[in-house]
Amino acid sequence: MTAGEPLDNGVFETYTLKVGQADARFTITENGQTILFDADEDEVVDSLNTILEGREIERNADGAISIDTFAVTHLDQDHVGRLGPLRQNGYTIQNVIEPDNDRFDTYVPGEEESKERVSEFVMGMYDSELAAHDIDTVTQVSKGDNKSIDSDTELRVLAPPDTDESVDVTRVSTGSDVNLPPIQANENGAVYKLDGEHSALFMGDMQDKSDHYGESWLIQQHDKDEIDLSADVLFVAHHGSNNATSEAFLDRVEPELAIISSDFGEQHGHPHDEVLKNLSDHDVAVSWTAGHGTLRTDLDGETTRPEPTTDLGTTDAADLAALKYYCRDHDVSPDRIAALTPDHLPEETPEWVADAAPMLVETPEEIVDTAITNAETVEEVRNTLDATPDTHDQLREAVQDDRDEHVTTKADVKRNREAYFSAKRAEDAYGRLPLHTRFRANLPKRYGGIDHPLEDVPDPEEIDGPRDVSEVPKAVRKPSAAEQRERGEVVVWDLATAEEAADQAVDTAETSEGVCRSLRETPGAHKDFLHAIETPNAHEANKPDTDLDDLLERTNDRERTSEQTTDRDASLSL
Amino acid sequence: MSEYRVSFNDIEDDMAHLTLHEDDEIREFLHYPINDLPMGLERADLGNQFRPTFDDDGSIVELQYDEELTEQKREEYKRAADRHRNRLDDTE
Repeated sequence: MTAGEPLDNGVFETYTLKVGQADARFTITENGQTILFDADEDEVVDSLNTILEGREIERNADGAISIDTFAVTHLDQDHVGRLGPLRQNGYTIQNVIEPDNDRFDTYVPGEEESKERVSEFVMGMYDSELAAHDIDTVTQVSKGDNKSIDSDTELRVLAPPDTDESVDVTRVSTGSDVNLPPIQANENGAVYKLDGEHSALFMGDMQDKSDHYGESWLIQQHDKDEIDLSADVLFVAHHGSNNATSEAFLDRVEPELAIISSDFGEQHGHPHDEVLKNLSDHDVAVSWTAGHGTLRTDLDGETTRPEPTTDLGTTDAADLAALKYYCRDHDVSPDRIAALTPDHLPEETPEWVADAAPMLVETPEEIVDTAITNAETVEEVRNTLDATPDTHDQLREAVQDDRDEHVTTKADVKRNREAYFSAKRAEDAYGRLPLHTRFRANLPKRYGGIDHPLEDVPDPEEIDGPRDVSEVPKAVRKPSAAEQRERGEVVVWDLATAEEAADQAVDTAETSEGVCRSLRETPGAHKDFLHAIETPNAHEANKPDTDLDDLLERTNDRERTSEQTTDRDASLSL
Repeated sequence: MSEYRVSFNDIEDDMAHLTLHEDDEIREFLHYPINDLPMGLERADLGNQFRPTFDDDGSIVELQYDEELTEQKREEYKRAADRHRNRLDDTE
């Protein structure tokens, strides 16, 4: 038994695991029963370890953690592909429910075409890996074969059809008569529903495709009151493919929240625009594992909205569409984007996205200001704006311009001196000219004058500004604190102050002008900012374990102890 | 030192799927877009064209598609698929 919060803590937890272009969800019922819906990729193990860390868990005789029910939606590699690592990493499946195998055909890879059937390779590997678990039961299910998980929880099975024959379907959208033959795997997969205070629909890869009308069949069953599709949380079918999640389907489900599990690689393009548009039109909040990470939804909580495990806050479908296009094009993670302008979106982005996405702003300046408002340190601003390089450059240039205008640097001093001596040299050279030349230079041209040699040269007295480098503060003259640490040098006090001032400027300001104004108050702060905005983790890297304050405090302590000892010795007349 | 071998699984949705075996265990699945391959290849030869490389304790190893292993795994999984159907009959 592992000590910690018990599994049966009275909370109905459902997790969507971030497993890339695959599917895996994990539920802990109020009574502590566990259900794993599909499992692919080794990340499942890592996610389960994180979820169960610190929980009180009963282990079986060989120390394994029991997964009470493994609910398979369909036998595809990205849904049942990796049961081996689960067992090797201390988990064991007890009971399996999977879709009725009379509803799909199999094929032998290398000998036959797939035609969207179940691969004997996947089925065989699934069984081989399943054999390593301590399986009590494997149950095939179809519509109506509900499974009791515990005294309070029933897992309802809405699909596949409970017949091994092809079933007739009338499509709501077109009125056409079609059917759902028992051949393809996705369309004949299992659809599950869980009910708590909120209900959740687990769709697997259910869809309408290649003359297999799985989603249409579900709609028809709902309309005939054979099943109830309505749910607060929709685990979106087939990673957000446009073969599913039609408007007609959403009209029946009416979810508050849709959760999509996919990566954002270009191979499949998931989640597809049409699905995001449908969700946007239906005002459904959307969470997406590629952006929001692993998600927890409590089916008995006050709200279905999960807290993201990344910094991505938006759950607007149009925002996610904008992020999908921008992030693919620039190979950045969606959670690093604060805002975008329409100009940032690649040409292929659908028009509705620019019209509907709340995260779209008009100018890059607004993105800079949003990043500054949300950040507490230069590093946070750097991290956000790096994802939109034009805005990053814009802020850097604004601070550089402000420094050029308001800060006297060594280069300014050098320029002043050179200008002064240059003017002085010209003046002296003029003084050395023959008298008649100087006389002619002072005559108007009509009386035989010539161009005056000092005409374009300033008077030395006009050269303003410091000409002595000692007038430039040390913090401006020396490299920033971060650069000094990089070189292994001791950071002097005023540079550490400049470093703090740069972060403080970001923390307190809401615009780039505000940051600049604030930087002007501390010598060296502009320069520190300019280094930190370009250098990852500049303010934290190479910092010694003990900071200067600690060192001073300890030195003071030692001195105090030494003084007390001297006083005591004196009082004892030693 | 581990022995690594690659078997060829399947082509689906224009992706070729292979399995990297480390000794007798599956280490990971490998996925290659077949559109990245030269034109005119015979489907039967596709497995030959994938040469995954990976870092094995500091040395980069290029793996060769293993036809014998592929055939062996194919037979093994066919038997396992049959076993799964029987398992369903037994436990239902």
